[in-house]
Amino acid sequence: MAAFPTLKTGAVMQYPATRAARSRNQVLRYVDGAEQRYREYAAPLKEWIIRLDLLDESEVAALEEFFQSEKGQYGSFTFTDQADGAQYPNCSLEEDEFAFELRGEMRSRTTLTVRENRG
Amino acid sequence: MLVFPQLATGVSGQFPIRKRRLARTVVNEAAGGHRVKLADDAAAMIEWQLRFEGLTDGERDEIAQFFTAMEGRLKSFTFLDPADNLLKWSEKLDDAAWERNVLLQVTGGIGDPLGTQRASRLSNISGATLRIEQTVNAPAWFHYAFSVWARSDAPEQLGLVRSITGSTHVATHDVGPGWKRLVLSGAFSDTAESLKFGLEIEAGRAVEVFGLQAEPQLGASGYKKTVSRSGVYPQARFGDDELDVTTEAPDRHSLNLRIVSRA
Repeated sequence: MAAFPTLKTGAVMQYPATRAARSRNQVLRYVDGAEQRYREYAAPLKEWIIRLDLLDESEVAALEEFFQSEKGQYGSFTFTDQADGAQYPNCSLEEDEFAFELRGEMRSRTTLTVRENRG
Repeated sequence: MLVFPQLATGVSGQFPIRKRRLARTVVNEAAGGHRVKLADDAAAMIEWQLRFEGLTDGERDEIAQFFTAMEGRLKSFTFLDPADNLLKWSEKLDDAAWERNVLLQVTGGIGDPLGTQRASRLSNISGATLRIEQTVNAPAWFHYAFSVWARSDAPEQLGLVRSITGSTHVATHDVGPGWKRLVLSGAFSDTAESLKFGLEIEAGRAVEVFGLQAEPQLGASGYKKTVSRSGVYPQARFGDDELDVTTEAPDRHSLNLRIVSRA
């Protein structure tokens, strides 16, 4: 199983780091105002928005290679959440697009979103 | 050869450069969150957004004439990615992309200057000087920077080679125990549509090398590892049918370009 690449510093994320838990529920509302709610996800799914700045060329190349090897959101990999050190063994990229900007030598930036898969 | 031109300064892109890789995945998501996915490999695309500033009249004319010759998005051309390494398999020197005599032995998994184990040892066990080189289908008349880190246990010499049929540029450097980044920069005055980059090692010598990189510019930038694809895109096209050029002062112009290619 592939693993999300780390930066040269060993870090995966930089500040500001966004971590979300996503649930999905259905809510049915009846004419008398009563509601019936039920969950669709058995448990919340984690999501991380990884904003990276001041990357050097080798770090960007590693992320680009990772995106290609994953074929966008198709592949799955292990992601380590550095907030708590927990490993999530079944994650994917959220999008089929990887965009980055080279603003100068060792001054590249990009944003990636990683989501936990169900099943 | 139809190739996106270099500027007079020997570069084919200016900062900032924006690059986008696009994949396509068919996703069927069940109510419970389980996803069934199918990758559509053939739909992968890559896009560059290039901003040029401070162009001279000559540079503006060259880009504008090239855009006109391509008729906007209609025709395809070769594009050398200014943000990538033009060599394939930059860390797998025993791959078939690298041409070498079998008496030039490659040993991988050697410690490199980045603190990992991705360098290679090149050992020439023959009685003659040997080369390891790779052909790049790119115009010989462009400026290129070919770079490599090198070291050896004992003082050795390593030749950096750029060649076309009938002409060779070699820069020989002294190599010692410390890692040193070596660069061969320059262009041929020739219309050849491919050229070779490589290393030349004397008989009976061994040198450790890492991070072979060729770039369409005068100086070496940060190293980019490559695998099966390099930064040469032979079927690129402009992303728009319109080219707007802004003239800010005499002999000073700016423009934006979008170039796309299948990945």
